[in-house]
Amino acid sequence: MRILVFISILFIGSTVHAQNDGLYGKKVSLDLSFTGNMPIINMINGPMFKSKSGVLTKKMDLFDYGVRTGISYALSNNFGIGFEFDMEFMNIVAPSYVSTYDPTTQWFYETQIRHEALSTRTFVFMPRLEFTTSSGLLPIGLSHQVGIGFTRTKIIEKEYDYLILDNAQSLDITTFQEDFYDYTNKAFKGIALMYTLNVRTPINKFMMITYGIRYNFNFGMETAHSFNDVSYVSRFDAYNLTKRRRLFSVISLNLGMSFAL
Amino acid sequence: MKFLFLIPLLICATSFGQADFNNYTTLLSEGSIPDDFTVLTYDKLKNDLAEGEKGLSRIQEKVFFEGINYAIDDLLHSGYVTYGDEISTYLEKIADKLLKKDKKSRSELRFYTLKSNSVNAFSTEQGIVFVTTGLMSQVTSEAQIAYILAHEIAHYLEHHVIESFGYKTKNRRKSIEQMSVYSKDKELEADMKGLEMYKTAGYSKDEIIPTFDVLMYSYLPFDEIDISLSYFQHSDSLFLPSSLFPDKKYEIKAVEDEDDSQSTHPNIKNRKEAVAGALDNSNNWGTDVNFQGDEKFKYIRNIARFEAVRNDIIEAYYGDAVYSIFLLEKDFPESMYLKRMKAQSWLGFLMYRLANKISSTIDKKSQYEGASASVHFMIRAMKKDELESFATRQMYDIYTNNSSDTEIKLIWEKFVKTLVNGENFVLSEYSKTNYASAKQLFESKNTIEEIDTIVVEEKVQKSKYDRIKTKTDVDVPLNFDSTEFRIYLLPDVIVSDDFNSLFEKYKDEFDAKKAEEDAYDAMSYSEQRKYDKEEKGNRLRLGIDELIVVEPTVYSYRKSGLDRVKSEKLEESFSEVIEESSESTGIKVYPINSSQLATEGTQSYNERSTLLNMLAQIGNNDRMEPFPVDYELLNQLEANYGTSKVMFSVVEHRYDAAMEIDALYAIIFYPAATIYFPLKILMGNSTEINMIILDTKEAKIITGSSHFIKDNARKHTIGAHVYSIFKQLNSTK
Repeated sequence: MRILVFISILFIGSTVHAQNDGLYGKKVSLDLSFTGNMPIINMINGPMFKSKSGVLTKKMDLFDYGVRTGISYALSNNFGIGFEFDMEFMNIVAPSYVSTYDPTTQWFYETQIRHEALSTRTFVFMPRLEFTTSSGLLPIGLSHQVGIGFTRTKIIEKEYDYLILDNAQSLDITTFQEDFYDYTNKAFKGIALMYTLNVRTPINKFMMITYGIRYNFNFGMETAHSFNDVSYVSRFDAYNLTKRRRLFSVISLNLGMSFAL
Repeated sequence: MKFLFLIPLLICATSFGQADFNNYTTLLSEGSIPDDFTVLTYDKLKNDLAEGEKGLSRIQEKVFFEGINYAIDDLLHSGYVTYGDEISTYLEKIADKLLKKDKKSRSELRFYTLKSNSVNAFSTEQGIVFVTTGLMSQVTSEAQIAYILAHEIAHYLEHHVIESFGYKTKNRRKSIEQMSVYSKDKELEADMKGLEMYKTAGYSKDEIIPTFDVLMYSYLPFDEIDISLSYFQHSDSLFLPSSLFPDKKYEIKAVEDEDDSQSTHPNIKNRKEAVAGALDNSNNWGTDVNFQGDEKFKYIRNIARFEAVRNDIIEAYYGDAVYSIFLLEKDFPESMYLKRMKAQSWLGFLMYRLANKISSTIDKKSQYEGASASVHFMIRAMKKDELESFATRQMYDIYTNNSSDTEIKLIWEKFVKTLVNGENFVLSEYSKTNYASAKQLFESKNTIEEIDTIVVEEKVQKSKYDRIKTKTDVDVPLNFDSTEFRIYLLPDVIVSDDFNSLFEKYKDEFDAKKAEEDAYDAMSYSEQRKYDKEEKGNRLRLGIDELIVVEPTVYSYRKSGLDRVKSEKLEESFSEVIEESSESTGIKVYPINSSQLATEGTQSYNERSTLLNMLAQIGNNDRMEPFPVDYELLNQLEANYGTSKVMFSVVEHRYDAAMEIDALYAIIFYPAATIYFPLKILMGNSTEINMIILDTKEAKIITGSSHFIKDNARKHTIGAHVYSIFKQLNSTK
């Protein structure tokens, strides 16, 4: 990390005296865009259950989405710094088995469950660097963005629908009424690395259409876990599911507007 | 009798406004600007397409009219076309006579002059007839021009252009020979139709066959008069060896019956025969040869001939320029214009010889034909230092005889600077005596030495240093050889204060520059990089606050080729953002755009042409810095606008996300595809914004910038880059 900061300072130092013209003199850009991706790799986990009017149906998870806001400052025509704040929404496939305890037999049974996909919300806080080829002119045109930031992911609290199936596969809503997840758990922390190939096309003297493709690399930061938590979706389970889900969400597209200030 | 007093007044009135060949300036457009120059091309295209039925399919019509409208408009806006000028007006009057009985057709036709040395005239489907100054310089009568115009008018009336397009489109598989037959038929048809028109107008039968001679020998200069070495010997004391001139006359090889099997036009023999047959079968011919008067014809032709010299200078074809000047000097010995052009030619020869590119300014040996070949032969025969000395001699004579002329003085200064920068001119090599005196001295000295040899040898032996000094004293040659003629060419030049002070001045500048280069060479690699970066950053920082901006040119390519309509629309957007950017960066811009010609008028058109011609001159003189051919006009332009800085810009855009074999590899190695395809698609756009700033004072590119961006060529994308360029131009180092 220190090396990264050092390189950034060197990079910035070498460009602050360079030509810096921006879009008609405006060097600050405020980005607002929607981001989305098809979680193709995650599809190998199979379909997830979605609830519609209380009915659970199998569906492929076809789309993740989010909102991205960012602010950049062009230090030179070819180099800029910025910060972004993103909010991303993803679904994770809930486990298909649940351990149920039979007090009469004093035994835990693995029972099949159909549980609505868990929704997650991730906040990303990320400083970023932006650079272009020598004849670029930030903030407009094609630029390369790299960033490293922090993520906070939480499972969204709501009434998830589920069905527990008995061993004979017949549908049977059991007496299992506990909350499957403790929403008071703290959010999962993680690190996000990104590279974006972004284009900002000016449509007038202060507005730009922005679009691009982003390659994300998300890593979890948590290591501690408890083996005592045997609930259906333990914090540990949720963390692992989320981590894996985000890790495999590598590519996303974004489309939005930028405003030159 | 009582009106006799009016005659001098009338003469004054008729001669008023006529070109003064002694102080000639190039042909300029006059009067109100025709619609052909002001209507946007895509509007013309829309009108043509709206007119409907032309015997072509809708797609063919679009291809034809798009192609022809943009090609013609490119020519109209090239800076080489003039309207309402004396030649164009002369042509219009001939057309009035030819179409006296066909008022409708006459009203449809427009005649413009094209400044080009190629001998040509052509008509378009839209009714424009272009006639080159090259053709006008070669003809020997008005009637000959009339016949050529009649031929072109016949092409227009018979719609040969669109018919030929239709034929070619429908018969793509036919051979060149078959296509040629069709094209030749149309030419012969135009010859015959033109002949009728010509006859009806009352022109002389005798001028028709000689017209074909004009066409046959059109590749030669406009006259055929022997030039001798003495033309270049301005004084008796100037010695030039006869070996510099060819000892034979180069034959003229043109033949009437050349193979025309693949040509668009029949050969001269066939055309003559076809026309002669028609002539035999018709009677009652008129007698008009120069209907507008002999003097008028000669006057118009002289304008064209002066333009021929100018065209040669622009095209850096100095061999032909010198020969044409020689021809014109017979009638205009005092013409300052010719002297200036001659000075420019010698400057050109010097520049090209020092750059070892002299061949591009003269004919190839295989092209030697006729009297003009002597000039080309002479220039080619001279070695580098010989031509350097010879050009200096010629230039110095022009300068000393016309030293009060500002333009010639400036050419002389540029000449001396070029001489110094060439690093080939060694002042001490030159003798202070002329060839004849040196020869006499040598001969008398040898005689004396022969007599005194015994005495000298007996008395004092010459020391080593005496011998060295004797050898290096060029005024007392040890050996005398006519091949060393060059060292005796400049005895008065090298002792001239004027020459020496200029030489020293430029030598000091050159040495200072050299010292800078040496200091750069002595730098370490990192120091050089730092220096280069600083220099690059400062390249545009010229502190410019006023700028003449010639309309930008945009080429936007689609997959099938140039999208002319989009390009034209982008040009308008580009012009708009240039004006907007200039306002916010503090640069006052004076736009000279073809789209503004309707409001700005003929003066703006002429200014634009002058600037484009200067650009062409610089472009033709690859990496050289020629003296501006239209120096006076550029001076006027500078006086009008208050700046000599002119910006030209070109934008090129294309989208090419072509997937090649690497796409297959990307698919096979799937993870690579996730990077490969987005990169290809997003980076498929490439736009190049090129800009140069010229200084009209020196016809020199003072700076330039090239922005290569991976983005679409949208108005504000270009605008932002233009803003950036202007901001730098406005700042200082």
